[in-house]
Amino acid sequence: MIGAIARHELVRLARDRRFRTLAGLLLVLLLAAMSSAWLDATERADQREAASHAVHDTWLDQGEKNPHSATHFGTWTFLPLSQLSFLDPGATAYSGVATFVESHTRGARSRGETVPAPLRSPSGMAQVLLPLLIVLVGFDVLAGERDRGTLAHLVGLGANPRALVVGKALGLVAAVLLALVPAAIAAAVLLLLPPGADTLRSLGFGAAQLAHAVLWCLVVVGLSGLMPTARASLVAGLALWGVTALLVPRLAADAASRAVPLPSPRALAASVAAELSEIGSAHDPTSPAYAELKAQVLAEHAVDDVADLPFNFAGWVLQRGEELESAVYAKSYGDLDERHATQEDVLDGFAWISPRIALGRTSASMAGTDRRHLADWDASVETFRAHMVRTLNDVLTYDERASEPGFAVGRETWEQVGTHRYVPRSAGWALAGVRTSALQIAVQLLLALALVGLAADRIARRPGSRSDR
Amino acid sequence: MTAPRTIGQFTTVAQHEVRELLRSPAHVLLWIAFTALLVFSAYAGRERVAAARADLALIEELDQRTLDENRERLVTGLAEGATFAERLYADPHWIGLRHGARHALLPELGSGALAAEDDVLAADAVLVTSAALELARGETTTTNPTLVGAGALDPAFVLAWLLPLVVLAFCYGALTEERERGTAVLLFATPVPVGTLLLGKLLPRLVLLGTPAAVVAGAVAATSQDPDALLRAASTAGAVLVFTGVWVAAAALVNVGRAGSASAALLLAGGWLVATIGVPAAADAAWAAVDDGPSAALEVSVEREAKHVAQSERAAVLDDFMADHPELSTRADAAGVASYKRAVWATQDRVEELVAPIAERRDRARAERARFMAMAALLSPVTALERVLDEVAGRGAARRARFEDAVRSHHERWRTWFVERTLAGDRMEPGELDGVPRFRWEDEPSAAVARHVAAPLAALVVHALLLALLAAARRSRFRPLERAADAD
Repeated sequence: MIGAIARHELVRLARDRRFRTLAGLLLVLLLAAMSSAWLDATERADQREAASHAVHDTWLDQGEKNPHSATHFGTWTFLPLSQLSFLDPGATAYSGVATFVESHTRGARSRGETVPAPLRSPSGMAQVLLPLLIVLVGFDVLAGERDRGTLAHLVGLGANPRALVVGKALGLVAAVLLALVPAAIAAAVLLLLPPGADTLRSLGFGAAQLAHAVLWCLVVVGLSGLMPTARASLVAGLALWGVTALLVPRLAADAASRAVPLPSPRALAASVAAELSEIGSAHDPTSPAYAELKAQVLAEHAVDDVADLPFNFAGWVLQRGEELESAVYAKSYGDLDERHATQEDVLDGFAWISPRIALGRTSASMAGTDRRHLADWDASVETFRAHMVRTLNDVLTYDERASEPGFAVGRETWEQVGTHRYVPRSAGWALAGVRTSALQIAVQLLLALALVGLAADRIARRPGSRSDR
Repeated sequence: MTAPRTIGQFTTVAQHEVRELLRSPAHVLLWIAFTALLVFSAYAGRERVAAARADLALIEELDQRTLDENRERLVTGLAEGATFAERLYADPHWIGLRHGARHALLPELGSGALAAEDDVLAADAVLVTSAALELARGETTTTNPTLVGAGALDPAFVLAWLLPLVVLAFCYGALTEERERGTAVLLFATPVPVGTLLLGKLLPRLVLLGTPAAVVAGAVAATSQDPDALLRAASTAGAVLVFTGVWVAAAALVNVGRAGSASAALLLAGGWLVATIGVPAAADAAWAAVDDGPSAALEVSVEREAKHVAQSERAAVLDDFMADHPELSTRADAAGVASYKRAVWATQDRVEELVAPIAERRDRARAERARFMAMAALLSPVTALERVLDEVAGRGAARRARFEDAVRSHHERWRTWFVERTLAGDRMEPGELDGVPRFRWEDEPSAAVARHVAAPLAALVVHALLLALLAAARRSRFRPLERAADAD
């Protein structure tokens, strides 16, 4: 019986001009956004790859110079675009494309490329427009029958209200998913085109979108069964959509920024500068901190003069200075990262009443474009920076010619430094970061099922409209 | 039908509608919730403005502190027996290049509370030194990108996105519900024309929804203490009122059609979807298809290559530079300017020369994009209102371009001053620091602000008029029925 009702509902929706128009409109928007984003992402990835090669060539061709001068010459490293970034660009579109790597300074990402417009990405459309489509096409699946008086008729003829509601829900889910099949196929083809597709991430991304679509179908069918008229069902659906998909995410962001205030960029820079000035500059070994280091190393090697040390003191002190400075950066930016994570905890709290927040967090994480992935990339840049500076300072410290005036090294040393390679994290790591969001989607699905159950009970008790009574 | 009679009928219908709306708990609750949300968003906007101003004040304070510290260091650098590093603090070349650098600041307008800045490329503070100016370079941000993606809860969002949905909820059933309840037949049987009936039903809704929205938004601008605060307030309030009118007129159009109330709501929701997301998305897609601006990655690599080329060709670059500036050669020698300073200037010039084509391409693309988006914004009432609010809030492209021009001029003055000062001698006196050029900013004149808001405001009026005229034209189809009813 459920199958027959679902099939009937599917056929009805397929014949419905309103459904065909709205689904067609959404499909066109999705396909246009997807193809445009894919072309854009492909071009950007190529440009970053080319720029990455160009700056590495510049690094190798920098000529002969003192190794520490090379740490100031520095190099750029470019943020790679994940395969799924065209579906959900997350924060990567506007958070900077490259980081300058040099000694003494934690690299700051360069400017971003676009203004944030999350609703215009394929994932943004799925998060906001798809629920709207489901509300607009599904509000009358049960309430329309009630308005026409056919619901009471069906129940009167012995139709099981639970089977009726489940069948209607399945029909709506099937219709919505079938309408989105071309978009899903297009996404799959675009994801599989490049070599080394990350299937697990793609599956995780798809599963989150699917669960969200099913959730809204169930909610809309539930409301349609509970509301007295189709009009009331539509208004309730639109209100729920407006509040949960539009309003709550912004309210949540506002609440998170109030609950966990962040230092301004200048305040952070000033506090870092103050801590660094306490350390002093490794280029000025007369500063107290370095004088102390000097005394320690002289005592350790039982010598009176740095010239008697078994290594070049100038290189050694630069490396110690680098480590002290890096510790300041690690602490300051680590604190900032923790504050970001705490803000996201606040956001997660609001996600219990806003599936869009839960989906957005899951989607961006599976696409590898959320704040956590960016922070991971920043950390890998810092690791590379430490490696670059240590490699070059070690040459200055341990090369026997290092204390000679005009000491310089060349390409062979620059090649030893190598390039920054970011190893993308696994799908499991991405999922672990959004466990709460995944759980929320699951719980919301259960609640939506309960709503459908309530609708079935309501129909069993009062299948007709008030006017019928 | 006489005018007094029409006015009397209109008043009767309007009074009845107001009473009905006030009796409806759902409508009253929605109205209170919306107004409270708007007030809260304005309050949150004020807080954002205060935070931005505090940040700018902090920059000024830090700049001043650095200046004071460097004044002391300068004195040390001038003293007999100063080390090489200490002497650099008294050297005008290094003061201009590094130690004396100051920020050029774009003040945050009080009206900025209306619309949060969503352009992540827009810097409100640019560090000016005698090195090349990097307006397009971003700076370290502490903002959580996850929250940026969610968007700001500002009055622009509440007004442009949520107000139409509230209007929709208030107006979609103005006449259609009467039809569904069967009371339309009775109403058409009265001598009240459909037009008067519709006006009587919808005008009170326009006043109920548009007035508080316009008052709150206008009050934000009026109490901002910005230059031209009244002009900004009037533009804001007017735009919000007309914008409400656009959606009420759209509701009138669907109400006089044959659609039922659910279909009317569907049509209005579809219109909202097109105006809010469809038009901006289409504009983005259209611009992406024609955009020939360079990517940020390309800019980075070109700038990197330019610096490398200029440094590796330093000798040849310096020769070219001196050939172009023979006056520097004699005066520099006379003043004892070290060759490395001339080399630094020469390298900077060469880098700017090499980067100029891509910088021009970027600036041209940005300007063209701003023009294109300004035109595209007129197509949708939502984007037109957002544009008015952006302009009033000081987020418009013209104000940004004016700031960047002012920074470029200041940078030129700064560089010229320090080159001249370096040529005059390699040591500065503490008092000379006060003569260093300061960035001066004058906001746009009233006429410019009025000009920027005129086009989107006019677009809103056109949208409202077109929809109202269409509704009026469709209303005339009801006349035969009305006449028939009158005849009966």
